[in-house]
Amino acid sequence: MKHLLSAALLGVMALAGCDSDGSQREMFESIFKRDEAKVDPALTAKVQRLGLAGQPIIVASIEAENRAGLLVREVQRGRESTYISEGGVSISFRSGVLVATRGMGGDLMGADVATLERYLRTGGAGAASRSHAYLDGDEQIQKHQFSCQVASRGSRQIAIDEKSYATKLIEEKCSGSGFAFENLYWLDRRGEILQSRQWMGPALGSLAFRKVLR
Amino acid sequence: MKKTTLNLCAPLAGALVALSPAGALADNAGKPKLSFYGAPGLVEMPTAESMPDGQLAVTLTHFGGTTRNTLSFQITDRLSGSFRYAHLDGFRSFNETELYDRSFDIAYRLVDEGRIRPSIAVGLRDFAGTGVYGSEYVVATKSVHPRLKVTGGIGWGRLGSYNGFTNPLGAIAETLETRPGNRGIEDTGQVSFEQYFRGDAAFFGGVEWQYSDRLSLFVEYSSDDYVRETQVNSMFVKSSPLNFGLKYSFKNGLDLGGYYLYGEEIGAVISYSLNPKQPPMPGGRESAPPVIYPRNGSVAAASWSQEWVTQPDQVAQTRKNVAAGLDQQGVELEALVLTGDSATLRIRNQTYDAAPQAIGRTARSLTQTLPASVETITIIPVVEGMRISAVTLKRSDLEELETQVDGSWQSYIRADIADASAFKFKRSDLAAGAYPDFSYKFGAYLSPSFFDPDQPIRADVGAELNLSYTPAPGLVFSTKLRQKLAGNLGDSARVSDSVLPHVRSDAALYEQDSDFEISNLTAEYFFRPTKDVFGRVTVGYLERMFGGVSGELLWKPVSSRLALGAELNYARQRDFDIGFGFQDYDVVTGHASAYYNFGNGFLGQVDAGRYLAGDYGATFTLDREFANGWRIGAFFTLTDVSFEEFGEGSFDKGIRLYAPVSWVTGEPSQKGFGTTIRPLTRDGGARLDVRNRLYEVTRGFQDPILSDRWGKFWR
Repeated sequence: MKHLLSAALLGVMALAGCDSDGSQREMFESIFKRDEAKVDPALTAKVQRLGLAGQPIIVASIEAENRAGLLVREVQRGRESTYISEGGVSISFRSGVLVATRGMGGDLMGADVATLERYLRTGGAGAASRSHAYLDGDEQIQKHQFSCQVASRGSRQIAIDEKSYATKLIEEKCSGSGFAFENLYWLDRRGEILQSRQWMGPALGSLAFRKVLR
Repeated sequence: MKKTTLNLCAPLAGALVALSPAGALADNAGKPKLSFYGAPGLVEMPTAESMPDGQLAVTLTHFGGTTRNTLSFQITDRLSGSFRYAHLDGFRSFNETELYDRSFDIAYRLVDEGRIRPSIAVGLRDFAGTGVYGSEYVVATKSVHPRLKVTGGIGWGRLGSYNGFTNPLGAIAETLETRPGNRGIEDTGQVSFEQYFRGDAAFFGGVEWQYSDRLSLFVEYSSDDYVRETQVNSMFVKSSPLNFGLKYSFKNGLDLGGYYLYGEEIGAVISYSLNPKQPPMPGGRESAPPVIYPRNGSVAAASWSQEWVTQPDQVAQTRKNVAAGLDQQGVELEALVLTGDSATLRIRNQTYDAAPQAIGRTARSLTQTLPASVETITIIPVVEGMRISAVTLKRSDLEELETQVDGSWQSYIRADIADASAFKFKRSDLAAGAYPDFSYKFGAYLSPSFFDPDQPIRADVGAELNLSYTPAPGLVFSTKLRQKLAGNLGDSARVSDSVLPHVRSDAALYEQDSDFEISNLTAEYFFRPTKDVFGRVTVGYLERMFGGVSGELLWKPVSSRLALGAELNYARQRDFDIGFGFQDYDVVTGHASAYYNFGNGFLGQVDAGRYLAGDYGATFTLDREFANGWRIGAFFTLTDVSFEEFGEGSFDKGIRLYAPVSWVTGEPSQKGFGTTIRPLTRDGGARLDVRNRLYEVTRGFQDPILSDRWGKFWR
């Protein structure tokens, strides 16, 4: 039962052909699902319902851990969208930029990415600052500030579902608060982010996202 | 002590370190090593280093017939304290050929290390015990190389016993040149002010060479001559003042050391340290909270129709949806009052240890179930039927702040946190099934006892049944029943020699006579007499040794750091079988209490009044409480019972610890491991152990705890 969504989406995935390293099944099982015993049937049903109703789906992976999984959009509120997984994880984006996670451990509690958002919208480049909020071990919010450089790396053709898409690749190099990371955004002609690689925080590092196009 | 917690953390902590490049647990370099006394030091001699703020360490050491078990805590950045339980095998004392010894140490770092100057600390060992380890020192430590630390100091008392010289402090006052002799056992437990820094002094010193991040080597020159162990008694032979050691630190907080001491002896140290500020899973790993739903598109709030509230079936459906939404989050809806643009709820938090998390999840769930016209949400957490506080949130603030970088702080300052006594509810507002409420819990219990010289650790295990019935808000009938299955608590042959009424010292008789016991059986009534005030009346079998009536009032304004309480009890001693019967002894006992939250995690409490043995006095308690729920504190009680009448230990004192389960698992939980360690339990300064004292019941849902833990609001 709890793999119903997996089963339903497996077809979509097969069509979408994402990350065809032959371990799609595994991907479903390992993804963002912490504990088989703790899977909440109500949540599973909800994720399935959203998926079958045609809500957008993304594949997310934790770069450092070689773990990946599917999330389906539950809410779009203004520029913000929140995706949820069967395993009890939620990930929120503002104009496609990662701004919050919940349930992953070491969660990104909130973020200010206003300058980057503007650059992505207008095609601008240059200096940008961003800040992230995390909970520390004593339940206090710690704010990390980063200075970033946003630049275009030019056009890139990417293949999703064996179809080729023309994208513009934007890089964002950041450092601050003792960390350094590099985010990448592949924007299609309409300026939508088709795929991205975004740093979530010290605990889990960078996450990769890709839209499932169906 | 709570070894279960400690052991559990180890693998998790290891997993975390692997994940987190910033994991401070991995940072071993420069971390002070713990000595045979369980505090920062070389082998036996102290250094001027401190553990990281908040660090907690348990150390077990053995050499030459001496076993020491020490719990150390870095109380503040500079101040540390230790409690030690030592066994000296072959040490003649009061017709025994062994000695069990309890001692407290305290150390303070006066000066921080600079480029040239060393760090300097002053310390007192065994400042309130039997004086076996009584000593004082001033010590300096300097890193002369990233891998080499040099320590030198001067000691008095035991630390001035080898190669000692006339006390240089004699220049100040000649009386400091002689140290008064050790006192008898009946004087134990007194603070020995008249001994501090007196008598001969001696130099000690040594080096620590950090061979690698994990392995350290030590050489020290000890100024402790072990006179009573090696000359008065012959526990071992001492032929040299030099000690050598090596210590390996594992990633998970475990340290192991092997030593060669005093020219003849082999010794070993094992210690485990953890920091309450560094849980294995910072931020928790519980499932994502409900997502905030948009209202109907982008229409302004004012234009949303409030008509729904006049349609009974719509209101009924909304109630049902709200209750179901909260239930998903582990929160129970007690009552709901709806108007066209506001919702006022009473909730029971059955899941979260951090109150703001219960409030935050409740609020977000409501955005999924309340009609779009509802803008103001007032959440009233209820504990034991009492409305503890009223937290009013604007729905539009929630919508704005969900993923903002300042969302936590902004949502706290925009929330209105008020006293809840003014919010009255009608019976018809109550959610279906909220009352009557019946609950039960069946499980196993483990009841340990420490420090009996015949058998330092004893324990009973058995089955436990908790029943609770709440017919109406605030009225609770409950009981705890226990059936002993195995154990040796009853084996104690110690007969109380107390000259006071035996209000606590007959503990062994209770263990011997009881098998199936009614641990408690009470009717409790909790109420809100007026604004800022909470009340409790408890009648019945209050605790294992006493039954009677207990009444309490607590004044605690919702945002106040100060709380004041008054409690009055009539208590009668229960029969040793812990059944329905009573003994002859009865007493009127009660206290006036003041509680103050100093901020920075320090809580002070003073309880003054009459104790169970009829003695008058006061208890002083200081706790360090971490926002995540860890709590470590110490207390002592002084009453009009003289030290002589009190007997061994002189007065009641102890330390207490509480570790939340959520810290270990990273999942919300209202459970925890708690223990109070008293070196001795006697009859003076003994307080009635009535359950649900109001300060503990209420403070979680009030400030300053709400603000301390508000980071969890959005989690």
